[in-house]
Amino acid sequence: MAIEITLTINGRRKILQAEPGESLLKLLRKAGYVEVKTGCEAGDCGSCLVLLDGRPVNSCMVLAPSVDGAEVTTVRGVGTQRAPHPIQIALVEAGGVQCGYCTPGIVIAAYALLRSNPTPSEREIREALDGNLCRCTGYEKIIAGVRLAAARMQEEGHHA
Amino acid sequence: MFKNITHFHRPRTLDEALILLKKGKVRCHAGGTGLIPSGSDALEGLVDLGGLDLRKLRRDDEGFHIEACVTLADLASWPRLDGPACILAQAALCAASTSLRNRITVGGSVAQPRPWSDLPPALLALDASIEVVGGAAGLYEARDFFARNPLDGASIVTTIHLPALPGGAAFHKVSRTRFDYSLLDVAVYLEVQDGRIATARIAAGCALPRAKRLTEAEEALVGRDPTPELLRRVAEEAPFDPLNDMRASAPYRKRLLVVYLQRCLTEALEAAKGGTN
Repeated sequence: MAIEITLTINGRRKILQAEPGESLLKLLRKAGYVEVKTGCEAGDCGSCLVLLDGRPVNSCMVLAPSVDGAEVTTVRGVGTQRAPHPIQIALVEAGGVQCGYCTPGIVIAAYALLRSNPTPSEREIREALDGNLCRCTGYEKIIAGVRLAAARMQEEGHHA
Repeated sequence: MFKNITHFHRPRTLDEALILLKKGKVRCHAGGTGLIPSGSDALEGLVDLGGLDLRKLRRDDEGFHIEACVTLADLASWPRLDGPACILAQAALCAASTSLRNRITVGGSVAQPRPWSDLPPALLALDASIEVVGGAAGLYEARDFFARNPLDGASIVTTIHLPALPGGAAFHKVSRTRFDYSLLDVAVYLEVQDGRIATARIAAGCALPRAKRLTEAEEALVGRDPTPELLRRVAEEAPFDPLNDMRASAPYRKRLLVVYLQRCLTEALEAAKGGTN
């Protein structure tokens, strides 16, 4: 028996039908938010990260009916191809994007970090991305990308 | 995931939740991180604790009161969790990735403790009490609670209470990465009076099927002058029969205990003397 839930996704209110045992990840993808990537579905890889009421969570580990009324931000709510966020631009420039599958989750984690801490140390960046796996880059370029984004956003007075 | 779940109940009061649990074939849902991977087909419904207002953190003269739906992220960043109790924040911070700590709850970590869970050793050393309502209602000492999980299917953990403590504590987790499943967790609490150890609580976890107090080692400390030699000997002689699994062999874990117990004892002693926790 489907349950009706209301979510504000990327600023827009949506009324969705969720199965009682359905994850937020599956519900979002079913509703067309395919920028949220399915990875391990065990909370390990971070490719399905979204902001839930402003905090990064693994959407595969969240049951959709439990978050009725919540605010969800996917990577499209952070930036799009036409209007990319400085984090996305910096990740591309630093070589932090290769196959790109982990990137939506990385952008969400970095965005959550820079919103609460605009001038993170390298250690703080590493800790903020500790739930994201990447099998291509070896992480160094991702860290460099987040540092670059932080520096530029400081310069330009851009708040995440 | 949950093939046969037909109902997701969202009770507004504890009484409502307990009535739902009594019906059977349902389980409590809080953060979901422990429940979702288990994906049991036997379950027909979930009882969500999210609407019960169990997210408060409170400190008073008696100590700290942590409600069950507080997340590990909120616990780790609670500025009032100080003194020896700060080892609980330390344990919470290394228990999982940043994004999972935003979902994992303290109540879930207690009600459904996994062998690798980082909170129980800290709770044991801090002499926590666990408040339960429902069929198994009561206020349980952490050591009894973790020795024999008293929860039946119709009970809910509501609050974890930590006493205000005058001594010093230390916690160490040994793992490949900060939040990987631990090879060994050690937590120690010490009080010193007139130059002698008055109270000692030593707990180990993750290397055992369930976290527990190392009472023989505690007894070897109480009433003694805490010389470095005594701490070293107690760590070396502590009876400890760890797991042998793919993460580490039992002899290796035994060696780890000797090193990390001595380290914890030394740090807890320093903190107890100087009040530096």
